[in-house]
Amino acid sequence: MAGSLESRLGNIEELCIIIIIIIFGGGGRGPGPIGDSVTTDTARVEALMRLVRPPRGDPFASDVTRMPLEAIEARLLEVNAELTRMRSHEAELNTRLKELRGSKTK
Amino acid sequence: MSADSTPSVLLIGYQDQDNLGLRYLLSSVLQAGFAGRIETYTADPEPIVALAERLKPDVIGFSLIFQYMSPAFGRVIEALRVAGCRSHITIGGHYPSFDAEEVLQRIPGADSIVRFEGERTLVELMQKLGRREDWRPIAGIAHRQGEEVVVNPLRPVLDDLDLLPFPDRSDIDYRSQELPMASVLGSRGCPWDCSFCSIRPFYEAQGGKLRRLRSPAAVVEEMRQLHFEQGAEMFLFQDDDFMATGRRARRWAEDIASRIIAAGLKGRIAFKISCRSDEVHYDTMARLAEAGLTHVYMGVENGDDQGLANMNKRMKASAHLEAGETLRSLDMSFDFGFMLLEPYSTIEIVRNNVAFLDSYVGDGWTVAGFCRTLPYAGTPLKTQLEAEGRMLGTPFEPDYNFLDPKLDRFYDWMLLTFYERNFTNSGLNEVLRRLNFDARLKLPNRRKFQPSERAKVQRITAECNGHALYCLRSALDYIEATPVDAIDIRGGYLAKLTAHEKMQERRLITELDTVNAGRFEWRQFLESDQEFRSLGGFANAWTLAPQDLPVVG
Repeated sequence: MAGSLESRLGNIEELCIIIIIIIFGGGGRGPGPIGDSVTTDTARVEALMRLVRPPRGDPFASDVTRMPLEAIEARLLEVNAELTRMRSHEAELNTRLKELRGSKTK
Repeated sequence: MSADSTPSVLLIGYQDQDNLGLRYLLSSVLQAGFAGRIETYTADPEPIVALAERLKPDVIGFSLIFQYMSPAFGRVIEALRVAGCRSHITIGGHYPSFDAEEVLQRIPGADSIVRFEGERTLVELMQKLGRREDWRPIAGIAHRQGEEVVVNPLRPVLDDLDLLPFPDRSDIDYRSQELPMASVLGSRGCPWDCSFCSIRPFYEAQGGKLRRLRSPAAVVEEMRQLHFEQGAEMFLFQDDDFMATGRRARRWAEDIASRIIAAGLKGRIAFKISCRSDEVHYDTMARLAEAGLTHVYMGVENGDDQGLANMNKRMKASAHLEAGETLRSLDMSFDFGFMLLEPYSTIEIVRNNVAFLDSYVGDGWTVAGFCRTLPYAGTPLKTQLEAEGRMLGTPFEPDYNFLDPKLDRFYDWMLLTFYERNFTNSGLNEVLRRLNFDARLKLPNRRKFQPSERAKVQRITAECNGHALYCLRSALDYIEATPVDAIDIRGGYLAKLTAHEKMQERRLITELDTVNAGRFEWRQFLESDQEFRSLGGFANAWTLAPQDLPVVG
């Protein structure tokens, strides 16, 4: 569970970086009509999205509606464990961040 | 003990946190010219029987702190008698003080009970026995007369605590402890009348003030001696309520702080106090922190206003939250007692308690432990439950059912699920309590936790709390929605919750093993000495009778 969430987060991060590069950097305005760029970029983003994360429809809705009671109970346990872990990890990271920034400014 | 004919006493009891009760008794006996020593209680009678045979003391005094331990003490006393011990055997402590008749009837080997404050009663008992005079009329004694138990009138309370000699600690080698930790007592008694507590009735029984204060000069002189002569660095104030009550108590506490600083102890020692949340005032706490206060234990008990009213706590839950913030702002560690369930709990109150714990310590500043209220001897609660015909169990092991039978099922599940976590010394609750205490301890000879290490401990504590609170919430949801007869605490969803909680605990324990390996070795802390236990582990202060304990695994 931990691994899959982390890898998903990693994918999203990667995607964001690609989008940023496309819009502001590497995919920036080269020669050609200005008006075309958005269309071109959208097409590229969609292609990249398919590459990075294949379309999966509407997984949450269909999963939940089809899940039996016991599966929901089990899934909730997993989700909550992960949420608790991530929340406490976030707090730890924030503390460390403050600590590092504090020592940098000294 | 004594080679000559000086009458002697052998005092037996637990020695966690120095057992000041026994040490005050011993110093009074020694001051009166008698001989004596203290020995640790063991459930196995053999060592005590062997010692009694060797020393042949005139009096053997048992310190019976835990009500449920009465049968075990009875077995040791029986073994002494079977072995031919002819010493006068007496028992003291909170429980036998309130329930002397029951104790004497069930422990036939005991000759007497020294009720309530025992220093002067024990000295008089030894005087009478030494002179072979009749000891039965002594004030404060209960004894057997034929089939009957006679309970004598009590003696007036000792008004001036400074008249008592300092507790005898001649057999304690603080310097050999990994963290030299001594208990001290600045006061006796508490004016608050919480329904679950027997402290006020205990001191009220003998009359006098509900809280008596030692002079700050005497308290600090004792600390000074303990530090410079015996090497104590950490002090645990064992006062029932260090800050009770109002401005007078705050001035007294601040005076102690000033004298600690004036005595040159600042920066050399640290200390811990216990108090109520609504007595945590920033200015006083800051002054105490300057003198070395690093840890506060609070009797929080409930996080719901109705629950607090049920317990007669005379305060609102918001005071707990404010106290927590104050102590955080002073960078102090704290922990707290919490009774998730009490005899008048409703599911709504319990749910609010769970939500409260999340607000209070969801950040992992300290670990959330929880239990239920038990109606101990001498408490207003016991009287109330008796009047309502709700008292169950035995005199030694009181019990009751909740008003909502679903909560009985919930409590059974809670014990099954959190027994290891909450009630054992190796459980996460105790381990994290200790680590959080250490993380904010400031002593010159103590390795300080780095901020990142503290953050890790706090993160793991937050996780520990988060998983437990989630399981509690989920169990409440399930139990509320399920007919009481269909609630199966060992199967189905509740069993899955139990397994989930235990899995998370195992994972966190494993993670603690790998946190900063080589620098932050918590297992070594735990195994090094008794310091960990001295902080008051649940396993050393059971609120459960052994047969209440669930079979785990």
